[in-house]
Amino acid sequence: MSDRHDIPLTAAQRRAAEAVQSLSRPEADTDFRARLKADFASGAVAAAKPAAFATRPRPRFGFALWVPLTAAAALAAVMVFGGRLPGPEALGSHIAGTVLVDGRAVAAGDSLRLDELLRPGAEVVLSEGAELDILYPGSFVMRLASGTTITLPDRPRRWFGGDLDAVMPEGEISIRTGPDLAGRMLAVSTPEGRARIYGTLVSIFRNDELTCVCLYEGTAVMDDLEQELGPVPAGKRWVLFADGRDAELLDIAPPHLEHMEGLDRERCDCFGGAHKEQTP
Amino acid sequence: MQDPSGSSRRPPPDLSRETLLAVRRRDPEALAALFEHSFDRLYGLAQRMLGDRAAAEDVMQETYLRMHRAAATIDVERDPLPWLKSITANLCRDHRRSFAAKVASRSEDVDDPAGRGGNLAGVGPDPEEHTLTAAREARVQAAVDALPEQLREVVILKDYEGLDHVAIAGIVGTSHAAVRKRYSRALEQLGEALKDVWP
Repeated sequence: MSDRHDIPLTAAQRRAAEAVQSLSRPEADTDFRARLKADFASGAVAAAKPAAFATRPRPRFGFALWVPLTAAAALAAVMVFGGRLPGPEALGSHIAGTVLVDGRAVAAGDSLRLDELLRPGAEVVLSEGAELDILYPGSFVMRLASGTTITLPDRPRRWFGGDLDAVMPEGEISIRTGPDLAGRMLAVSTPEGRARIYGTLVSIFRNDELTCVCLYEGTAVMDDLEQELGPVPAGKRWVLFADGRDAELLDIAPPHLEHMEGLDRERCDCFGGAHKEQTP
Repeated sequence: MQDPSGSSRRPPPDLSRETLLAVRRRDPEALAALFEHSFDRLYGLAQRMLGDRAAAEDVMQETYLRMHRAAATIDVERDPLPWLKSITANLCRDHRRSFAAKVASRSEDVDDPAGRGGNLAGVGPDPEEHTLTAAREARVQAAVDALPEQLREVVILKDYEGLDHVAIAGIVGTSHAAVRKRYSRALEQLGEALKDVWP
């Protein structure tokens, strides 16, 4: 091809260029191609987790520059953010079932073993029939419904705020925040969007068709994949559809209200408060 | 744009503006059409940049995951292929720098000692010619793989994908002058490595 920035090539360089140009177009495995096409067309691909290689930040500087910058940043981080608040801890469950923590199976009621395995960033998967409460002392408590898959957020920084991120590809969680979350934001991402939680009682539900974020009280803001949709009014829920339809703002559905109230009633002692019944 | 020879090469089907509008709505038929429009080109780019079938499949899955998530923002006035090539090329760079890729490069498959996924050259009607073509391609691919990353990606994007220096500069995040230098150095090293194949 002609390129106004083309450079004159020696005979050897020209032959090398022709060698690369003559390379054939490799064919993909037909099963892989067909499967990926079906997943892409149906939207199933969107439920996949990003590949590990694609989630790390790309280095932008050469070695000589990033070594001193990294050292300085690490020193600053130790000085400024020298501690984190506790969490996560299992509060146990009265319900039978199995919990997978990073692929290791534990009975849902075995809070001691769960405590050993739970860590920030762990992937937690609840079998049918299991239910689990997880506490980040002082910051928030979350109730995971049966069938939920979630990657737990990091522990909150002790000073100067800092945001937390959880990822929930499917299932339902309710979250009650505590006083130590003040000044911080807890985000829960699903394939359709992200709920940013600032201080609240909220539930997030996700299945193959939609993501639903219900606000009982407090402050939470909803984003879809492209933009901010706005705050979730108390007593309402944002519904984001997997097929790309416009999001809808509706009243909270009774099952989600029950899930949030159940958490608030049974775990209100976590932050020294008392549960208040609400009529949305 | 160069048109590398090969049995599997076929021009991608065109996408109409209406199809791209339907892609924005994530209409399954439109997404399937976008897939047909792009997959063979993107897979070829990934496999040539990575030299490994499994790694190319990883990159393809991630490319289409990102494409699906960004479908609502697709520009319906232009062919999305250059944009998708850019995503693929950047993901290939991420993959090559990842820990998993470094581990894989140290543990090559015993059935495929070259570790290059085989089958890079399609089987033609003449077995002898196919064998010669496959051997020659393997040499070229090995020489490309042996280049430093900054040189390899430039020569693949320029001579295999037919992008110009300005477009490549946008993808790799440097100036077109730097791309020209890298391209010249890449060809110099390739010429040296392949001098007994094309004396």
